[in-house]
Amino acid sequence: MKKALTWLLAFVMVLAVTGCSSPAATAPTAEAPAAEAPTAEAPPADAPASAAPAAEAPAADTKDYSNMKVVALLSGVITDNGWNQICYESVKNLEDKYGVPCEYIESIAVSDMAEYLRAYGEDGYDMVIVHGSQFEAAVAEVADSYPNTHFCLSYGFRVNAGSDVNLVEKPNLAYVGPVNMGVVIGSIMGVLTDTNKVVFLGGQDIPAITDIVSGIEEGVRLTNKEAEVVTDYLGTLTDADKAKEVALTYINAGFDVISASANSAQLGCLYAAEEKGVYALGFNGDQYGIAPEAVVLSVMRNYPAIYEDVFLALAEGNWQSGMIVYDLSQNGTLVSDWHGWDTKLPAEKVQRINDTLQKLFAGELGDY
Amino acid sequence: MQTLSLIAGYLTSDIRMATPILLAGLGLLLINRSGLLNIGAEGTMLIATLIAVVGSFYGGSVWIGLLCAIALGALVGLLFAFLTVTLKANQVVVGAAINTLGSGLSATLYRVIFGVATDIQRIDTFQNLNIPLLSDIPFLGTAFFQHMPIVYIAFLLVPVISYFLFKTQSGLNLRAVGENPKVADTLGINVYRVQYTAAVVGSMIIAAGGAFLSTGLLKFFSEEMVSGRGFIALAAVIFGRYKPSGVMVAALIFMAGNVAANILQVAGSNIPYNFLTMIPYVLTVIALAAFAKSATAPASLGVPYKRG
Amino acid sequence: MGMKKTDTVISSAKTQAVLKQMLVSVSAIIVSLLLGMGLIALMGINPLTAFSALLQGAFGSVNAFSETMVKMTPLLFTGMSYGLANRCGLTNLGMEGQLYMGALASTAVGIYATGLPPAIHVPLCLMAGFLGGGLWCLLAGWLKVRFGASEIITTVMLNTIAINFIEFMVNGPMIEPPGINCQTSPVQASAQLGKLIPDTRVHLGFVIALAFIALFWLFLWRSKKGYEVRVSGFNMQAAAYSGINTNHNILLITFLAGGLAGLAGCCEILGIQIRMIPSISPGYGFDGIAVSLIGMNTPVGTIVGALLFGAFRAGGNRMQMKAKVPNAIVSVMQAFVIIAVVASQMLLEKWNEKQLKNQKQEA
Repeated sequence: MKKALTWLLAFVMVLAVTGCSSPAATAPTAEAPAAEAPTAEAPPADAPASAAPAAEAPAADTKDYSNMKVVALLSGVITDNGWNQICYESVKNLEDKYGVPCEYIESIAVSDMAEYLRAYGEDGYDMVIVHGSQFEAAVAEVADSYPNTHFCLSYGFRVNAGSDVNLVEKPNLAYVGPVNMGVVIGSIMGVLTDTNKVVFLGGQDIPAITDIVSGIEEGVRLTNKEAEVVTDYLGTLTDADKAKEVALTYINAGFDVISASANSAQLGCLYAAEEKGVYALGFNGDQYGIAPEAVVLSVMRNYPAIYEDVFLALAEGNWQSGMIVYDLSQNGTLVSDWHGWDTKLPAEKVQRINDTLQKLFAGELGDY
Repeated sequence: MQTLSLIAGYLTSDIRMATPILLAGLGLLLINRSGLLNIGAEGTMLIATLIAVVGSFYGGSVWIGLLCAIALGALVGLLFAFLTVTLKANQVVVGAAINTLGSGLSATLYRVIFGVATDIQRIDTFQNLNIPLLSDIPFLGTAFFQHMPIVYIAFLLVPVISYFLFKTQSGLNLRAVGENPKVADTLGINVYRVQYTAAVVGSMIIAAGGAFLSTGLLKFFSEEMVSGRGFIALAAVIFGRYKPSGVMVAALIFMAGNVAANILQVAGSNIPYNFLTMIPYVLTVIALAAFAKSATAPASLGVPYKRG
Repeated sequence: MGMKKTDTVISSAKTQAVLKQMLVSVSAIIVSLLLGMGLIALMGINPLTAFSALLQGAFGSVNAFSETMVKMTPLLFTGMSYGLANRCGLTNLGMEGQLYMGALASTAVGIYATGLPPAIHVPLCLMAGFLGGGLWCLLAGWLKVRFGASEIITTVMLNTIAINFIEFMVNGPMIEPPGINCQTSPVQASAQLGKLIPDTRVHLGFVIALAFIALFWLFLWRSKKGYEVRVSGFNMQAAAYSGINTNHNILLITFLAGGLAGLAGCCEILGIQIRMIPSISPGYGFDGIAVSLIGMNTPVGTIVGALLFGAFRAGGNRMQMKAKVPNAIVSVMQAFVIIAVVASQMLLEKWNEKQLKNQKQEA
């Protein structure tokens, strides 16, 4: 039986070894998406890209930022296809572009966050990215003890950012985030639908998702006055099969445009759309590759540019505290490339979407 | 006609969703019947979901993925049997450890193999296999004969395992070991070998259930994607009164609850989504309570057997 | 006189056995840590850096050890919870859900009962936490007694139900005005547990947990009921034959075990978190199984087990921070520890048996 144990342990080791040796082989595939990932400025309309302030900051190579210390504290894993992954890509962007040594910590329990914040405060980190509004209480509690550390809390702002009234003011604490992404998604959905029924599925009723949900209906109304708009919650961020079944039930009920914000679970919604031949919109990153037959466009949280912006402000001594809301004109939101869908869709729809997005990002359709 | 096709659609999704539960349940049934209590199905399935994707990615065929997952299931079963049969460790604790191991190991290996990328690799996955002629029957055809091959295999396993358990000598031996290992031992049955075999074969079937989740129902691995199915399968075994056909009925009923929850949700009921999410779990508890008395568990379930 | 002598002989043999057991457990832990370090090395991370971070994070300074104590507090409760049920022959896998329900109940009392002095408010919250977890687990006990439903499954199902219910409560009826962040308002200052060591996060909950360890011992080994429970744990049927009301005991034990898990959540709220949030526990409920396993359901053992896994959690956090070891590896290592410890305990038992046999043969 000792033999059996040895064999089992050997197996675990072998698994780990094969696991370790393979990245070299898969490296090219892993890099391929990065080339067109969120940092790529290729929205269908030209307007949003040209409004990008930070994304093309030329100061990149002139200054040495390697003495600055940045860490991102995450609530989940960096492979969640969503919220935490986009943050990981953001710090990677900082590291690649400015040579800032960036670290990240995954899966921090809310009850442990204060401990992490203290540790990085003690170590004299310059910027601590706290990715998730559930950590707000912990940051507000710790911020005062470390005045030289700047805390950057990623916050889910609802449409027009009007309802966020009870944020605590601290000189070294900033609440940052894009706003009105839901409006962008909704406006595209309104054009795409043929059956006049569109649905957006959130994973859970939490600020980082509710912020999107809150803008959907308003967005659809910009382009479609009659469509039935449903926003609903899946009750999971991991169970993609459940999400797929819920999406299928909606599609069977005649909904023909679907989008979701539910980390890994949202993949199920995209698969469902592809299976049934209806339109889907990707969210968070460019999700065309996941279901090319369904994902027309992806709307992306542009956290890489936002964190870059905040970081540069800090590095240049222009740190701002309080609410920093990135509306559409400030490059907080990106829309992906068409990936060929502009030739597959009826020309009139492509035209309308391009038009709408251009006006939306230019602020001509309202104060977004 | 409209309603008929709607109902056919519900039946299709019920059968599809029930398949991983059914496979895991059948695997657990074999293990339970041999007197071993395994709560590690969740972790076993989770590693299998990843290994199936890896196999399909590198092997280029979803069947290679399935085989890899099943082979891995055998290893997990061996580990479980070694700890619980040879060493007689507490079966619940070992099962819990397998769950932790499955969650950590699958997450680690996934990252090492596929890296961190927003864009997901396309892999070969199971496609629907329409049974000729039968699938053309209106209503019945769409509901029962337009599924992926592994769905048919899962449902065919029900009579096969039933026959094995109740009509063959090895099946009788297996049940004897689960009921009273001491008597079985005196009858000349090698208790340990039976339990080892049950654990290994059972875990292989459980792993197939995990593989179907990531390469059939979905097209890739994501962390914690099993989301409690391993435990629901365990409940299906009890609710199914430790019979293969019962497990099948239980899996179908539990998932019908899920389908109903989805319909309720889409119909725009004002029930908060949290309560809809609870439905399958509440249903499981109620089903257990209602049928537990008539379900006689193998008498020696969970009790390690000591020879001599 | 003679009685006493045999007693001391037995107890010294017992201490020896316990010492042996602990020695074996410790070596098992070392072996599993070495395995984990191997895995870390294979990931391309220096295992020595990782290991020193693990130790530093758990015991390196007053602050580090205080974090270990913070993590020990809920683990002591959940470890006792699993152990108590296990002593009665029950398997409680629902500690996570009971922890949540206890946390919710104590938060409610902590927020809505106003104008009370701490001396009344804190015990009231503790009682609410105990009741919240206890009643939730009692439901599983009742289902077992009334319908024969296996508590192994029902407690797991009740976990998911509880967590969904908490999400609903925190997002709905109990959400902090004006209703943006899914969290409740903070509990009143009078309900919060004071700090045990200034400038750290260790709170009075740690002392309360130790007090409950004493109660745990008193109940199981010094009360008639506890004796009955332990007898039923050995053999439920035999206990029933000898006139013990096993159904009654199941109900009592599920209530008490659930209550202990509820206190884990309650102390997290009153001592650390101050308010209810949807993910209050990073898995303390499940860790309770391992704690109780290492402690072999004894009071001192539970403390040792909680210390080990508390240190593992605190050190694991530091390992993430300083050595960049991903969180998933920490849980793989935890599984290694559990497997190694069960395996070693069982090997020791086999070895003892063999020795006993040899002795008999010699005699």
